[in-house]
Amino acid sequence: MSEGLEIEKLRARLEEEERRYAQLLAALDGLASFSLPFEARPALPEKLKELNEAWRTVPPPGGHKPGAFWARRVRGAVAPALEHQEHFNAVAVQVLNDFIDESAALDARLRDVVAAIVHYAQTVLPTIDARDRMATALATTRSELILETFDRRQETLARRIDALATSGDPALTRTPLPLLFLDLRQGEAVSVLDSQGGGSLGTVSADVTDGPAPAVLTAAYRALRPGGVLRLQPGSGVSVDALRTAVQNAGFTDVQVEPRGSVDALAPIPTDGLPAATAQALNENVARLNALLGHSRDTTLTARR
Amino acid sequence: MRLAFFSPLPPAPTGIADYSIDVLHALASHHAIDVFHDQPNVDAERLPPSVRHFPAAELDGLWQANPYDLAIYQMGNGAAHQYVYPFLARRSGLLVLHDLVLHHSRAQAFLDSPEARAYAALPSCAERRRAAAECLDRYRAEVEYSYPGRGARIADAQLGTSGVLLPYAYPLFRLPVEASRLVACHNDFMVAAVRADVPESDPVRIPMMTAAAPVPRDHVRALRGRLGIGDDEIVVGSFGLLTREKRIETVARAVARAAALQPRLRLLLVGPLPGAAALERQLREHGVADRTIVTGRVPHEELGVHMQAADIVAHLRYPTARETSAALLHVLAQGRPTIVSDLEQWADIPRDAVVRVPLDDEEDALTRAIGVLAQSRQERDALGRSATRFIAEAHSARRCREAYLSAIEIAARRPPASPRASWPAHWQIVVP
Repeated sequence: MSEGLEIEKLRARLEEEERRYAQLLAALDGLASFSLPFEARPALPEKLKELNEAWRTVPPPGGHKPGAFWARRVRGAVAPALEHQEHFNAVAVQVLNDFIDESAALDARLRDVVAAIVHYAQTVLPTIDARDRMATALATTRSELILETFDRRQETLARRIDALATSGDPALTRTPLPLLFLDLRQGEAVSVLDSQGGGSLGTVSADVTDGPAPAVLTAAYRALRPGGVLRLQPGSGVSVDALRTAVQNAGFTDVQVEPRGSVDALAPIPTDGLPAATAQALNENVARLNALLGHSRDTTLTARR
Repeated sequence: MRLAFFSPLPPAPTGIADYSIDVLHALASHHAIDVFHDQPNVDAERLPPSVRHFPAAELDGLWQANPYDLAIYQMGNGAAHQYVYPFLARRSGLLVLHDLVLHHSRAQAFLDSPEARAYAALPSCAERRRAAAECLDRYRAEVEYSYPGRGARIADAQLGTSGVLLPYAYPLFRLPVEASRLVACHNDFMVAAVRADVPESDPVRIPMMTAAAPVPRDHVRALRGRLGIGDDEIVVGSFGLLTREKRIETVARAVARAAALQPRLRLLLVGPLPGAAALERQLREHGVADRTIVTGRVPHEELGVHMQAADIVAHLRYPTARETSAALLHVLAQGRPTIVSDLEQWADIPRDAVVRVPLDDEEDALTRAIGVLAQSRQERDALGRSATRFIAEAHSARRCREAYLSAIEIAARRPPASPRASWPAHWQIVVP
């Protein structure tokens, strides 16, 4: 039985969403890996140190050498510009330091945020799965309750049938109806019996027309359950004794040979004192009556597996 | 014969471990047996002296060096038996099926596999997802093989919904049975069920061996005293692993109701309990916490005296994996008047040996049965006598040993099962 159209559509949509989700996670994973400025430019801290040390202008010349006076006079003339430059350098270096520090902090924060987003994306699916399972658990509780009720009822019914079967009433055995052989040849009977499960039949009943058939008896033995009944009606010309022996050799027990009917046969009418033709006619009718009641010289052989 | 015997062993927390010890003692004088297990510790003192034990991973090497005549597999519906699966097809042998339903543990083996766990830990990883999907595909293939045309729906329902009943309806025993030379079960129901599903398997029945543990009367009195049970109190006991299937909640409610007329009723729960807090909550909710004694797991050698301490035993089971309950046979062997669930696989227990409660009237019938038995010492004694008689006749060590020896002979005569082309790919295993 194929799934409903709705479930197929849902399944196709789910597969597409899962594919997109996996792509998103993979992309996020890739984006989550990036270096901070100090990691990408390992020389940067050293250069920053250099800059911090190099922002000052050249110190004024000192000493009393002949050129020192004029050097100091020239320096005095350009001192304001130098002081301005030094001030600029100091501010620039300070701004650069601050900027680099803040950038590093921002980049680190950014990396934390990305990691959190990736982690969130990785846990969303399990969370949704947990919610989904909770919802299905609630939904399936109803079906479980119905199934449990049905299952318990089935078990009780099966046990009741078992109890009736073991009470000895053959009409209430759990096994299928007896298998009747109607115009089946011996080979067909064997194949039909072999197609049954071993120990699956309660009764096997057959008309025997060609004498004992060991293959049929063996197949019947296998197909009957322990305690199952074999019932054979030997036709004219079939030796009942030979059939009885064959049935016993096949493993059956409790072999009984009984008249076919269950009603007592009418006894022949005594012919003493009757005209011969009258006695013959009466006893012919007795024979016909017995035949209608199911009696003849024919017998039924029963046995148990 | 040289036998390779696969089973959990004590101290593994499964009744089959204790069962296997009994079987090994019964068989050790007839065959040379090596036991193969999958556990870090083995209580080797309980093994027969002639029986060696090895990790299952060493089997192939040992087999190649000195081939065994037959492998025997003790198979149940528990994680402790998962290690057996890879060997079933490679070393076809005698499969002793303790549970008809194997679906729960088999599904768990795939759902809880390393691949599935790895994917759950990192759902973004395509590689892990692929590995987990392959693992689940193996599970789907097994379900489809066992239930053609329905496998996908069954697997989806099992994986996508909750509830415990579905695996019981689809037992998943076909592959282990087809891979075996011979299958043995402990009850007729299971034999018929296996035969119905796999007719060519022709399974046999092996009675489960059970014997009463001799318990001095004064030991019982002493134990009841230690547990705080008065001489005039009637104890309803439940024994074995206290799982949901044991219907402890139903037993508790029945005792609570019966106690309205029989105030001297006590409830005794003996066995490992998966969730102590949940049980305590249940007992409180039903108002029986104060009259209940929970012992937890007791040593194997003390089970008999604890069973004898109970005046009545309640042994419910639903759902059922159709197992023959070792705990049930043990309480019957101890002559305990026992109330059981009316299950098909326990149909061979004589009518006069137990009181049966139908599944569709479980609590009410149990309540009535407790009430009747609590009032009648005569009825309890009669049940107990019939129970011990039944066990002595049907579950003797001799019968079990003879059945095992016969099954071993039959299995050894049969050729190993050949891998079938229709089996799932991971069952197409070539013997090294």
